[in-house]
Amino acid sequence: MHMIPLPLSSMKEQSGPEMSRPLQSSPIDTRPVYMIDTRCELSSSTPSSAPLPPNSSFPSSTSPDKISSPLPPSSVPCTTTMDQNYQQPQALHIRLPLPEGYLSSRSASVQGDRQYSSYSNGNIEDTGRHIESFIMSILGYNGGAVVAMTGKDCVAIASDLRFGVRLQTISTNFEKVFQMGPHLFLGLPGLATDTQTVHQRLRFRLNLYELRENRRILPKTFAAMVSNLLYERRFGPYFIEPVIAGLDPESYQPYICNMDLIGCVNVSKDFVVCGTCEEQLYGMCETLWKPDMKPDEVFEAISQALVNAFDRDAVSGWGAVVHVIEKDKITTRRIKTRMD
Amino acid sequence: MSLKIHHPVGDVASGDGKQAYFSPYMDNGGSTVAIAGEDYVIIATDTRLSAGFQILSREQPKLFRLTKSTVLGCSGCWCDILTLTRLIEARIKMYNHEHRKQMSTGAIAQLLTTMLYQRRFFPYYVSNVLVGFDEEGKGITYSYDPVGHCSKSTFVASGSSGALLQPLLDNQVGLKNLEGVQPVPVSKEKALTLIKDTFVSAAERDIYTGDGILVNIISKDGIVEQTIPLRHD
Repeated sequence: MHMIPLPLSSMKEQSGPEMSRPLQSSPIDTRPVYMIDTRCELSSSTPSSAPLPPNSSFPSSTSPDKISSPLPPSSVPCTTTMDQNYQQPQALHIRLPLPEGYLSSRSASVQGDRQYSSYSNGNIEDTGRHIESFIMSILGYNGGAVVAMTGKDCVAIASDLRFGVRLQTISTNFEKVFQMGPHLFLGLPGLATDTQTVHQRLRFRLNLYELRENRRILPKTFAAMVSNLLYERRFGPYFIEPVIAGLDPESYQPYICNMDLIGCVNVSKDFVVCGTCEEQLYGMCETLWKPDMKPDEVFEAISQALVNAFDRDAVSGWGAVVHVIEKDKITTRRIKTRMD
Repeated sequence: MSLKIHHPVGDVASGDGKQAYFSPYMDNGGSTVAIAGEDYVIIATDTRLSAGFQILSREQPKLFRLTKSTVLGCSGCWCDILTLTRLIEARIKMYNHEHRKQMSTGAIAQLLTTMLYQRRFFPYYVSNVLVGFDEEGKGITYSYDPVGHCSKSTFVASGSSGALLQPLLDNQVGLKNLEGVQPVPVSKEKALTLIKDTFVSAAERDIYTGDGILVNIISKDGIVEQTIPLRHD
């Protein structure tokens, strides 16, 4: 491919030593973006994955069907069931079929949402004056939850699979986590239309960045990019709360962060949670997380945290997908959960 | 249960003057966790009493011993808690005089439902957890909403950290989403460790839970009390 790199002086982060390193050994993937799919398959069938630069040997992860490991603080063995019928999804998830009258029903119900009693949103004192519960807000309109966790030289990010309109479930195959680079994932829980829009806009900006810089983006730089995009809509925000999980493309240091809907970044050493069952996720993660977990342990902890959390939330759940990101491989698993 | 509660007395600027209003409820926070086993039941609350960003007390017990084997844990509006527990204690005393026997846990559970529902349109703003033993002598927990809905279980988390802790109990006590695990009853020691762990987790993320834990371990022999420190910030 013919590449015209811009002069280095145009780069913002020139001071970093990694900036001047050319990418001869690892050219960035120049195929159309929607074809990039570096995920491994669980089954023994040939993975439809592209090799990960710089490691061209990309081992297919032949994980066992069940992975069990004791969890802190108790010694109860935890095992998570994986969906054997999981089909590797085609790379780009294009828009879901929306129900007819979607827009009109949305605007109508956003205004008239007094059907829930004041007790259900815990506000006794002034019935119907404030509609404050999370499901009533736009952020909880479609439901959904994303969580990310760090381990030793690895990170994991997981989401539920439900897409609904208020309490009605429309689809149970709506992924909210997107791969943005060989070691970089982005979770976008919140209003589904904004999930898709923000994903597309970030993909566009990221492509431009990679073309201009001719290198992979750092997770923290990507976080700044997301934050920037969101703050541009400071007074008419996208109703999503992004989660970023990745490994540094040079040092492979784990990086996770989340932000609010206008882009206030919160970098964390242990875990980040977002979505409609945020409280439940905090309770689970706070107990299950421990430092320096191995990839299998991280998978177990994040799966148990997510699944048990959304089982106590009506508007998220219906299956889960977990990505474990390591230096030389990424393992994607679907979790079987209760579907009610 | 999380909610927004105004300061009890305040002013609202409206047009050409100020209008005073009175809001009868406060949320003083607090969390309760209870786990019941074959021959024991453990109930614990934190010892913080708060109002918004203020801490009113760091050592306020929120457990009320109603009989020798029945304990009530409350969180929510502290003045409602005081009133409600005073009335329950009076009603239990009346029962004792009338029937010449100790009131059973099930009977107290029913009494509490009735007392809460009597105030259906001006409720006591209290999350109650009642623990004791059933007819067969097995541990049991009853949890309530402010208007008297009662649900019977063997483990429950309620109050300001209820949402954080309930999924953890589902997983570790209810053995939800675990494969190939024998459903063995939880031992007293494990239940106690688990309760401590849940409160430590809750104190990390919930500002209305902290300072200390007051635990009541109830068995046939009586009630053993224990206090454990939590973070003070």
